[in-house]
Amino acid sequence: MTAVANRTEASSRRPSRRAPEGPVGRTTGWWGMVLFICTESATFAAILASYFYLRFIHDTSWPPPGDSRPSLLVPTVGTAVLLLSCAPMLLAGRTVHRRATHVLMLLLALLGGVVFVVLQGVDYAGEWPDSTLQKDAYGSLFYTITGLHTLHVVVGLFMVLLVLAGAVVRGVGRGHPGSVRVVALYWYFLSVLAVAVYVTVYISPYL
Amino acid sequence: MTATTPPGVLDERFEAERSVGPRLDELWAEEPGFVGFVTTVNHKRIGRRYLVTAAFFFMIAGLEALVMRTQLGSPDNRLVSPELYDQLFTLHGTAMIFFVATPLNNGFGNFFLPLMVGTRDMAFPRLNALSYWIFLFSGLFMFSSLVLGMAPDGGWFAYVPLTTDRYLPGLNLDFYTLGLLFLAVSSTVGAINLIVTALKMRAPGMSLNRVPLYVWAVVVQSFMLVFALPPLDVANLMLFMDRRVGTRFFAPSKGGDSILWQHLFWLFGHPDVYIIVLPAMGIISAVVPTFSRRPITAYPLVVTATIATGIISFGVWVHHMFAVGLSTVSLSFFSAATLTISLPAGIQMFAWITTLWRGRVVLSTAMLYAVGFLVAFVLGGVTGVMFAVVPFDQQVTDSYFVVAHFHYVLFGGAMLPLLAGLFYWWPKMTGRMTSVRGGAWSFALVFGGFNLTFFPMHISGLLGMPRRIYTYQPGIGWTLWNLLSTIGAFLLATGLFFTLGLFVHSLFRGARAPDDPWGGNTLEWATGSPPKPYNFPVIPTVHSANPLWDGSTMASMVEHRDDDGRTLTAEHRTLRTSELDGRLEAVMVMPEESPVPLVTAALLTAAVICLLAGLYVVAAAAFVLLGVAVLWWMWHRPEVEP
Repeated sequence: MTAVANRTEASSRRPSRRAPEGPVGRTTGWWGMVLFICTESATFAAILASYFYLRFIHDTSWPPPGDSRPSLLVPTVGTAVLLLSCAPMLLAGRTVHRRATHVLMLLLALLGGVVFVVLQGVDYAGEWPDSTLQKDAYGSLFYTITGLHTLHVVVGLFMVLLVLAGAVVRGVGRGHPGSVRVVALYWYFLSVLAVAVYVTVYISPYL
Repeated sequence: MTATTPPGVLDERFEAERSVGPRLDELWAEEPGFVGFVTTVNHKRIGRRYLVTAAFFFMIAGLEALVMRTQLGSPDNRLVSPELYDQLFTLHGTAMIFFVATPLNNGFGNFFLPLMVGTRDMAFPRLNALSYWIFLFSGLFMFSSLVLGMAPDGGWFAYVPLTTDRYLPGLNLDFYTLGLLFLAVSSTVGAINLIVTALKMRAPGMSLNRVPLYVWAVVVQSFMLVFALPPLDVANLMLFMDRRVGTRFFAPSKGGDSILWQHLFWLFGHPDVYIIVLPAMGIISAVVPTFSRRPITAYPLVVTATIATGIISFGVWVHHMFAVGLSTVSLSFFSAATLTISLPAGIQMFAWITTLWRGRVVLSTAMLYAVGFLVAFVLGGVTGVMFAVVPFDQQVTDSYFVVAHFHYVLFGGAMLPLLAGLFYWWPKMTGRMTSVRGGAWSFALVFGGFNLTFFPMHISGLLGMPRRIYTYQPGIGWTLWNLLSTIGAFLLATGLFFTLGLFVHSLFRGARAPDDPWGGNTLEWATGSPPKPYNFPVIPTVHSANPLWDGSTMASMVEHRDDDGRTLTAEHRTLRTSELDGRLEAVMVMPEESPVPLVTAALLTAAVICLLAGLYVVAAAAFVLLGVAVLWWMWHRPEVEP
């Protein structure tokens, strides 16, 4: 047995009594998530680039005549809440050995995500009669970009739920600091993406 | 050595197997029968399936080409209707690019990448199974459209506005957009899996400068897939929504734009050429040193060239759009970029030629195909450079000259190396040798047929014959060249069927293959032929870039045969090492067989079919079930790390 193998065995046998040791090096799961984020980033890069392409290829004003600028209040609050929820997510990764705090932090992050999704719905309700998916390319872009991002946040919510369920059912000692950190990575990505989407869809029409 | 080594088995492997083989056999034994068939996560079985499935799709797409060539064999031919002809060339192109060339590379990658880096499975074995099932189902989905008479008919690059619902109503193009989105899931997760395996699971000692060139090529290709597929997915999503939901992305009167499709498509499409060709070049970099009996020359330059090709290929897409009417600035930029990308290809070409020149060449069947590739790829590359010159491109664009060019690149540059790889690795995959004389015939027929089919197309193209016409009039000088191409196509088909027969014959009658029939230099030759489910009884320490030729690497398998940290005789285990230096980091527990990947893929298939049929509510339900399956999957993971 090498030292590394021994440590693996020992800590999985008596998990709750030991503070989990940081694994040596990056895990395959971490790399898998990083590459997934890469491909997701490329997807959003392509669709955000399409937004500006369609804006500047025509010589009309933006938003085009007949559309009004998007209202800012609700999406600003939503994006801010999602960004702020990164803090409890970060803390959740650092508190895997303290169950109550860990669970609380995950719940807070989850709440942030839910608020974001709900506010996005509220925003749609405000925009809908004025701008629709079928009205023009502006409307198509608006709903497709924000919708795609919200869908990703929903996927992120399920990831957090899964880690939360793991912490509650299996106990944090058995703890998956690895998985929490991998999920947190995706969460940060969603927040950064929220800013990119916000700047493109909500702010850029004012510029 | 206490016992005599059986013939064909390497001494070191025999010693290692004698020490731990029986225990590992028991641990890694697979469920037999049907259950084992649908639940397996063994990378070698999945790799084989990729190859067999893609070969089957190759046959269908090839038969489509034969029908087209028969149609064009004589002027004013009425064998197929124009409508059917549209479907044939569209599905032929789409299938060859997406469902044949890329998956064949994926099959070899799956089988040989873990063997070459010295590990026991892929990083995410169940994800690997999922990516195969999705490939299979999306392929069947795409080909079923032909049986239903609703195959895509807008050309393989499906330009709008032709492909909008106004001009091409019906399900044809929905098969295209949904089928490609569906397949993209498989390609993306497959690429991520290959990258992570190559980064984290190399045998100890395999620092980046000792990684086999084939592995480098697969990794660069996979990175390209990760970044190139998204624009295609976005384009297909927009087209699907424009057709079904009524969005206006491609409608100029409503603020959309039809050139947007072309940008997004070729932003994927040009890297895709290298996505297909790079791993094929990687095969050449594996075959050439083995049969030149010396290491490749200029290893660092070949690696650099591979990476450079991957990066530059993202900056050349507009050369597919020189005739669209873009600004002169963008034409000049992309013309220069396109000329630049020929440099790294040239570096690799000279590295192979120098290796041959400084080595002792053994003309095995694989080597014949490799040399055939060198000739064909230079021809295809030269016409490629011609296209970089804008005025020339504008003159011959959309003519048969283009068809000739990309068949030299894709058949000559990818299929010939893939055939070289098949002959090279066949003994490793099946444990049987192929006939040497038969191999020479196979090469002669395929290479002759290939040139006879595609070389005359250069001429008919320069004579002005446009691509995608279903027939032409007599007396305009195209008849002879088309007849030659058609004769060539039948010769090529004969050669390919002969090759298939050769492999079937080998499977039943071929001589038993030894562990290392060719005296190869990379780690796959250190395993059995075919390899055991656990690949390596003892994970070796890699001492050089040519581990089978340095002596010490093989000796390390005997040295460590009693070291539990290298034999890993509990559960399904393998080693995790550092990204750059290949230093030992941890022991990983790998998942075992599971039906979840198949269930997940089946649910995704159901969702896609419902989307096609317009049953959006049922599709949503299928997606929810899919989510549940994925959650179940994520819940039941072997805990890899403490």
